[in-house]
Amino acid sequence: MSALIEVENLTKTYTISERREGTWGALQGLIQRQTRKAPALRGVSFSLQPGEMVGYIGPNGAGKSTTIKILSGILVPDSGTCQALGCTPWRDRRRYVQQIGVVFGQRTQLWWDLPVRESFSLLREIYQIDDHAFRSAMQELQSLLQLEALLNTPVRQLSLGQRMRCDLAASLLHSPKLLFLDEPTIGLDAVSKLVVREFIRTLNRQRGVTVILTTHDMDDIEALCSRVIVIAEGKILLDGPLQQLRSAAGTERRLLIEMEKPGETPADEEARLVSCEGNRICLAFDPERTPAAALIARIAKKYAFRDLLVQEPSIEEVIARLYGTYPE
Amino acid sequence: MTLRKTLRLVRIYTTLSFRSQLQYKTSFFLLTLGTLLATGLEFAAVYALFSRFGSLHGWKLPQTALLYGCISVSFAIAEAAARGFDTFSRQIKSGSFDRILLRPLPPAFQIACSEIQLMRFGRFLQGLAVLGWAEWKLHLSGTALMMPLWMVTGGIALFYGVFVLQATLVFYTIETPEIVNIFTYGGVETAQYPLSIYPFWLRSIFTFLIPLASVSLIPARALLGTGSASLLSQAAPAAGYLFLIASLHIWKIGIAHYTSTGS
Amino acid sequence: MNSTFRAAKAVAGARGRLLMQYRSAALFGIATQMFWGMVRAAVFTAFYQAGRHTASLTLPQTIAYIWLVQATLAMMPWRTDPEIQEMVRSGAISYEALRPADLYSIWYARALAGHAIPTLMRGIPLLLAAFLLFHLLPPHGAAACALWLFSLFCTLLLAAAFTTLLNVSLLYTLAGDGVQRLMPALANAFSGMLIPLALLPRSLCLLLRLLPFAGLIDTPMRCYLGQISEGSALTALMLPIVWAAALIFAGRMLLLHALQKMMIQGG
Repeated sequence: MSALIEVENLTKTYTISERREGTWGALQGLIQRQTRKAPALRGVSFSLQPGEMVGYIGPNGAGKSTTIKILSGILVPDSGTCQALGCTPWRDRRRYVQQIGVVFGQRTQLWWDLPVRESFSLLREIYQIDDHAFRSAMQELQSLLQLEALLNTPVRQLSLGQRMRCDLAASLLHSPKLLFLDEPTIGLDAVSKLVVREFIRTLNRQRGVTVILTTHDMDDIEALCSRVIVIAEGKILLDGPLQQLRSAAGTERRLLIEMEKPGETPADEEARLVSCEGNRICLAFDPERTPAAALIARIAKKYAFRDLLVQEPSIEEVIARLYGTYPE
Repeated sequence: MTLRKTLRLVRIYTTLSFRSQLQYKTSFFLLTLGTLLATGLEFAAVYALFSRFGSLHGWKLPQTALLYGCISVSFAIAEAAARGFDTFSRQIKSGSFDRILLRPLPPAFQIACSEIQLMRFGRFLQGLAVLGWAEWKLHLSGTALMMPLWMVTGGIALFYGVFVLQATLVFYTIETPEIVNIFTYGGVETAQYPLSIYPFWLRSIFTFLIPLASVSLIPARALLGTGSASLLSQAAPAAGYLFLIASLHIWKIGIAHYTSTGS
Repeated sequence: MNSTFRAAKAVAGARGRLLMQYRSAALFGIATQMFWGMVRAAVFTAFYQAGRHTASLTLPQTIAYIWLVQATLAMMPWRTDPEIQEMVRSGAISYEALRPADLYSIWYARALAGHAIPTLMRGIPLLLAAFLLFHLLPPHGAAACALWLFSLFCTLLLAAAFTTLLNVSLLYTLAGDGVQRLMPALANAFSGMLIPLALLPRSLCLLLRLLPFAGLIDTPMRCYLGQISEGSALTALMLPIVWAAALIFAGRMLLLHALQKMMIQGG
């Protein structure tokens, strides 16, 4: 099967104008700007097959949103090529965006003062969706995202989770083949996160929508993506199955323990002490060698503690570790 | 996109825009009253000046009121309809312009439709009242009434073009510099009086750079019989439309700049 | 009282430093106001050319008037404080009410700084430019100049009282909305900003001079142009101060009432 997206050697450098100090500087700035080059992408290449669901991750400023902007046609790269759905996104922008959906987790595309339903009917006109297609899309989205109760509510009265559900629906009314999700679970409560994830999974499995997901939430990646692309400093650091990321970064997890008495430090042969502040202890362990439950059971037998928490390493940590294993 | 579909979209956008604003009915009513009072008092000041000084470069009050009314109505309509361009800085900063680029419609069309502001209704009413009074005082009737209408539509296009240019500037500066007020509010204020009273440089700006004279002074003179009534003078308001078309072309350069720098 | 004064001073200082940061914006602002000044000067020049003379103001006096208006435009009570607006909108105002300092004084201090600093920053360069480029008429003697400066100080007290009243009106949804929409329109026309009050019919002029708005523009102008003799200065300058006191009293009462209502209804 031919690729849905084929990206080759994208580069992008931003020119940032520096502000000069003081009134004189501001005046000088009017005549001659002081600028600085900030490379955002330094040769990014990858390809995506139809029906894939890819996590596109990296620390802030790594070039994630630059890539997404280029792939969605709203930014022109300095060099490199991109073919997606048979278009060059930034060249055939209008034809291309008709076929894609984009969700930004932090911004809504719905009309703030209007009931959700009104936004949907306007989008229907914008994308020229015919009656039949609109009705069936609405029906499906309504039941998958439980929208019935929300449709007549003005957007400003929705909770963040409710709004995200509506935003997802809004981006899918025109049945796009390709969906970009930028931090779709950011700021959501635990239940909403689950609903959103479940929905994305269904969309990918049942409707075969290709999904590119950027996120800071490792759980999103775990729950959704079989393939991850890690980008850092404008270059792709790793592109492969999720397991590859795990093994590349190590699987170490953290166990945070709040002890009953300060000064007591639990010891276990399978865990390494990371830090100890008063009665707060942080241990690192490898879940492949000792499951969390077993470790907790052993500690509980020997020590008295108030509270504990198992932590996944954050994306930042994983990538920091990747740097360790993939030196430039 | 066919014309029918375009008109349908305009209608839907407009209804939605009105409906979302009508959620704040009292605020709308009070603001209308406020602008009506403010602009009404502004005209009262003009009236007071005329009753003190008699005339202005040979223009009596009713003749000046004709200019004043046309420009006021034009600006009120342009300002209401071009609200999306007027507040474009906000859209760039919040990132909602990216969303506009993600939709399969021309950006200028979406911005034009995105907000049609009812809040400036007060100025429109004032302008209409001043214009009506001037027409009555000048005994304009029949085909002579067509000229003010033609001036108003040319003026709407012209001011709309100014707002489009103001928004284009935002692609480069992010903020709307206060100085562009010279061309929007400044344009209204200057063109409410016959442009012939101003110093040469100011007259030149509003004749050649922004062709305000061709939607106000030139056709008004032709109508009032105080200047050339050639076909060219009568056709002058068309310059407003040409200005708008030119602005929309410059706007496209701005978009190209935005999509290549991603500010 | 002393602690309130100190709190108010700190607030005013912080606000002043913030406003100072927008210097380049101020430069553009000055250019814009120069443009308006030139347009208005041209309009009045053309009117005076009609030849029907008026005893109350000569053309150079009117042009000086226009430039002085442009220079002190930041004294006009046109808008509410965006931070207070946000505080009311978000409900954070109920915490403000809990602070041990007197809320009205703090708001009043903010308004003083909000009027004084832009006036100084924009006004002084604008007046200098008007002197150099447009032959601005100097004050009518040293006494007139001193009187003018003192009168501007009264204007500041009055303007801040107006603005604080506008801010207090934010706490009253419906009536407040009306006040915020209508008062600036009245201030523009009745202060002498749109047209010097002296150019209006005599009886209307005298009536408007009794209203609080005249203290914003008309009174300092008359001082500058030397139209207030030293003898009548006291009464002419007392009026803005009395009005300022009245507006402060009204603002205080309305704020107190709104806060009490808020505490009973729980916000």
